[in-house]
Amino acid sequence: MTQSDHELVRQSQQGDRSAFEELVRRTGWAVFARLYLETADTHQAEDLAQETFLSAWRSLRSLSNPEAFRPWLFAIAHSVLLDGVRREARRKRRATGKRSAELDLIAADQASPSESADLREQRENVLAALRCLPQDYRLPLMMRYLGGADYDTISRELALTNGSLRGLLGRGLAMLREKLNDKTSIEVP
Amino acid sequence: MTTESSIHTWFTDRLAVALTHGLDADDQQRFDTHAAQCPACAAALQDARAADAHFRQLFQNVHPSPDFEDRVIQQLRRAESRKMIWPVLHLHPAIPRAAAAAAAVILVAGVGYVGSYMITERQRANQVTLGSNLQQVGQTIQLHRHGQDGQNVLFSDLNNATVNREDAERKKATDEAEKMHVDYNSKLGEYSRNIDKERQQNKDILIELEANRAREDLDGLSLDDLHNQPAVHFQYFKPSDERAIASASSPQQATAAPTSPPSASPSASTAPATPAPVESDRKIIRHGEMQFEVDSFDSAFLQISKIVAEERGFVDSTDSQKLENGKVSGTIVVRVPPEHLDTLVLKLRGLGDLKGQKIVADDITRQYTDLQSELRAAQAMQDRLLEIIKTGKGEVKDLLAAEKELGIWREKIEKITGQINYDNSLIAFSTLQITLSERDIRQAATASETENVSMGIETDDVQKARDNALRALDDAKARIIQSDLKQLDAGQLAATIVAEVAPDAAGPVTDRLKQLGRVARLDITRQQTTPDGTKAPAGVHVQRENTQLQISLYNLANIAPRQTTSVSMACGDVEKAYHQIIERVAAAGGRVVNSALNRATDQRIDATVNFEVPSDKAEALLAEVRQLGGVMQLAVTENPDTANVTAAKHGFVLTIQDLDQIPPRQTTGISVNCSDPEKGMTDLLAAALSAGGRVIDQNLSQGDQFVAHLVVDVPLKNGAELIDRARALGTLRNIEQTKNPAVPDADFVRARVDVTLVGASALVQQDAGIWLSFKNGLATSIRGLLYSLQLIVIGLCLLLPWAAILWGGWKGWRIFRARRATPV
Repeated sequence: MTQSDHELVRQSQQGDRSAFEELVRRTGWAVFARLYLETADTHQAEDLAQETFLSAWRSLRSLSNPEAFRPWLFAIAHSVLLDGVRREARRKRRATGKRSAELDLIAADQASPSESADLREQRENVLAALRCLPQDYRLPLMMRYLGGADYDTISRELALTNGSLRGLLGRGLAMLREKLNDKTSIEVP
Repeated sequence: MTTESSIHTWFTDRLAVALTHGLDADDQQRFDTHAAQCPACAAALQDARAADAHFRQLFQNVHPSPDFEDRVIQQLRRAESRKMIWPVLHLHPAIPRAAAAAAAVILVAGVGYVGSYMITERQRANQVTLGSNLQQVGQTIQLHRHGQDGQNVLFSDLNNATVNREDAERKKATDEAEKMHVDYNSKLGEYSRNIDKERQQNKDILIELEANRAREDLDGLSLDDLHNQPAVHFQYFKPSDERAIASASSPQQATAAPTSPPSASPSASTAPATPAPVESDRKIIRHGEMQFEVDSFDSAFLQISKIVAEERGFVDSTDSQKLENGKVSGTIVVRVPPEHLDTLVLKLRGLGDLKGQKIVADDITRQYTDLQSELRAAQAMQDRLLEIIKTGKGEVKDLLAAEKELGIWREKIEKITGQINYDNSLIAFSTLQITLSERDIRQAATASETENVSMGIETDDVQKARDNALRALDDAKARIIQSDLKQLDAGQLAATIVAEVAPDAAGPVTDRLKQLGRVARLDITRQQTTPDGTKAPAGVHVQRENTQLQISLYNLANIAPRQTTSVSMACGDVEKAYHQIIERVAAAGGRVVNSALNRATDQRIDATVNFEVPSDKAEALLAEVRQLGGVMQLAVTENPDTANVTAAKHGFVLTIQDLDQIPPRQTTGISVNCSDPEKGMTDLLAAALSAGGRVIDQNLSQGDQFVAHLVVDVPLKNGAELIDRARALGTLRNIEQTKNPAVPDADFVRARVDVTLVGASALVQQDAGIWLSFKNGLATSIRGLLYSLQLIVIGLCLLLPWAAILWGGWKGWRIFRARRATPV
C-alpha cells in the first residue's frame, strides 16, 4: 500500500516481478469483473484475466506512461477478450456435433443447480444494462456487484479519488436503475 | 431552504457511498441523522439499499475463486521461467497446420529416400553375395568335375538358385556333392577292379579256347571233338548272349565305362551292384595315337622300349626316316595290355613335348557275337556234311558234292576263326601309335647369298662413260638386264644399267666402274636367304648367287648441291650489291639459278639471288659477299646424301635487305617519374636527333596523370647514352631491355628506346564521382538484399519445417503430460 501504482509499474518495467505481482493483487478483481461483464462466465473470465496479465507482463515495457497502467490493462483485457471470443468461435466451428453435445452435457452438470433460470435471466439483464453504461460509470458498479468490493477497495483498485468515485458510484447506480426500469418490468423490492 | 436543499443534495450524493460503507465517521453520523430526520431521504435510502442488495444478491455467486490472484501470479512465474527457454508463439492456426503438413511431407520424403537407399544397398549386397555364391558353386563344380552325380545336383541347384539363396542351402548342396563324389570314387574304384578281374577271366577263357582250337586242329576230323567244340562254345558263350541282350539296352554306357572312367555316366556307376556278369563279355578294342617332339629320336625310342617292357607290352613296329636337314622323324607302334594303356600313356608323357594324343575304345561286342554265331552255324553245317560223308550213304556224286561243300564251309570256318583270333589279339593288346619328330624339323637345310651393288657416278660425259661401263661388263661376262640413256631438259643426261654378274667377277667389275667418274654413291648389300624365309642357321652350306649391279650415270647440272649456304644481309644500296654479286658468280664459273630484285617502294628494296659455284671457289665468294654489307644471318644446310646430290658444287641462297628495314637489335623500355614530362621529352628528342636517331612514335596524354611517350631508333652505340639521359630526368619506375637474336651486333644496326615519362598523379580519379558512388552503393545494397533473400528462403525451406516439427512435438508432450497430471 505504501507504494503508488505508477512506482510499481516502473519497477515492473525494470524486471521486478514482485512489483508486478503486487499490481496483479491490486488490479485482479477489476480485470476479472471487467471480463465477467462481457463473458458472464466466471471460469472464462478467470482464464482470460490470467491471459491478460501474462500478456501485460510480456509487453509491459511498451507502456510509456505508467500513470495510464489501468486503462492500458483494460485495453489489453479487451483485446484478449476479442481473441478469446474468436478462438471460441473457431473451436465451435471445428467441433463435431457429438462432441459438442457431450461438452454441453458436461457444462450443464457443472452449472450450479441452485441457480434458477429466472435468476440467470435477471443477471443477464443487469449485465446487459451495465454494458450499456459508459466505461467510467460501469467499472465501479461492476466492482461493487460483481466483486462485492466495498468503497475502499473500489477506490484503491480503480485508483480514484474519494470525490470522483462518490460521483461515479451515485450517478452510475442511478443510471443502472433507470436503464433496468426502462428496459424491463423488474420489480425492485 | 438553501441549507435544506443542500443537505438533501449532499445526502443523495453520498447515498451510494453510504451503501458501500465509504463514509468516514463524521459523514456517517451526519448521514444517519439526516436519514432519521427526513422521511423522503430515508425512503430514498431504503430504495437504494434494496436495489443494491438486489444487485449484490444477483451476483452473489459471481466472484473469482479465492486463489485467483495467486494462480495468476503462479502462472506468471511459470511463464517467466518458460520464456527463458521458449517464447510462446501465438500463431494463426493455419500456420502450424501448414508447417506440420510441410514437415510431414519432408519427413515422408526423407523416410522414402532412406528407405530406397537401404533397399538399393541391400540389393547390391545381395548381388555381391549371389556373385560369390555362383563363384563358389563354380569352384565346387570344378572340384567335382569327375562326379557327375554331384554335378547334376549342383546344376539343378544352380537352376533353382534364387536371389535370396541361403548360405546353409549352398553348404548343404556342396556337402552333398562332396559326399556323392566320394561315393562315386569308391564305386569307380570297385568297378574298375571288377573290370580288371573280368578281363583276366576273359583272357583265361580265351587261352582255354585257343587250347581247344589247337586240340581240334590236332584231332582233325574227330567227331567227338566236333560235337564237343560247339558245346564248349555254347557253354562259354551262351550266358554271354543272354547278357548281351540284357545289356543291349545300355550299350553306350558300357562302352564308355572302361575307356574314359572320368566321364562315366551315373548308371554306369550304379552298375557295380552286378558288375561281373554284365561287363565280362564286352569286347572292347583300345587303341590310340600320340605325337611328340623330342630332342633325339634314338634316345626316345630306347626310352619307349623300356617303358613298354615295364608295362608288359612290346614294340610292334618302328618306322623312321632321316630328313634332309639331318632331323629324324618316325612312328613307333607298341602293343600293351589294355589295362596298362593308361599307365603307359602317363609314363610316355615325359618323353618330350606332347603335341597330340588320342585314345579310342571301340566296342566290337556285337560284331564279335555275330562272328561267334556264324562260326557255330558253319560248324553245325560242317558236322552235317561230315555225318553225310561218314555214313557214306547216297550216290558218289552226292558225296563229292558234299566234300566240295565241306571244303567251302571249312574255309569259311577258318576265315571266321581267323577274324576272331585277330579281334582277340586286338582286345588282348591295345595298340598305341607314337609319332616322334625331332625338334626344329622344319629348319632350313640350305641358304643362298645375294649381293646387290648400287652405285651413282657423276661424270661430265655421260654417253662415253656409259659405253665404257657396258664394255667393262661385257668383259666380265655379265648379263645386262636393263640399260637406259635419257636426255632430260637443259641438256642433262642420265643413264642406268642393271646387270647380273658372277659373284667372283663382281669385285673387279665394280673397281673398273669406279674409274668412270666420281663415285657419288655406292651401296653394297649382301643378304642370306633360305627357301622358307627363315634365318639361316649356323653351319649351313651357303650358296652364292649372282651379284646384281645397278649403275646410274649422270652429269652434274641435273643434281642439287650437297651443301647450301643461306645468307641474309643488309646493305645501304641493295641494287648495287645485287649486280655486283651476279658479276662475281659469273667470274667464279658459277651458275645463277634464279634472282630477283624487288622494289616495293623507294625506301623498301630487297633482292634474292640463288646461285651455285664450284665447291673450291665457294669460300672466296662468300668472303667477297661479306664485304658488300652486314651479314645478319648465315646458315649452312646439308642435303641428305642421296643419288641426286653432289658435293662438287656449293649452293647459295642470298637475301639482301635494305638497312632501314632491319628491326632494332635492342629494345629498351624505360619508365620515369618526373616533374615535367613535356620538357623531358623535348630534351630527349633533341638528343636523339643529334645522335642520328629516328623518331618512331611520340605522344603526350593526360589521364589521371600527365604522360609523355617517346619511341626513337638510334645507332646501337648511342643507345646507352640516351637511356642514361632519360634516367637522369626523374625517378626510375621501370626499365626492361630485350635483344633481338635475329639481328647481329653490327655497326649498322640500331637500338630502339621507348621512354615513358609520367607526371604527378591527378588528385581525383577520373572515373570517380557522385554518380559512381551512388551506383556502387546501389549495387552493394542489391547484393545484400539478394543475399538476405537467399537466407530467408533457406530459413523457410530448411529450418522452418524442423522448427515446426519440434514445436509440434513439444506441444504434444505438454498435452500428454497435462493429461497424465489431471486426476481422472
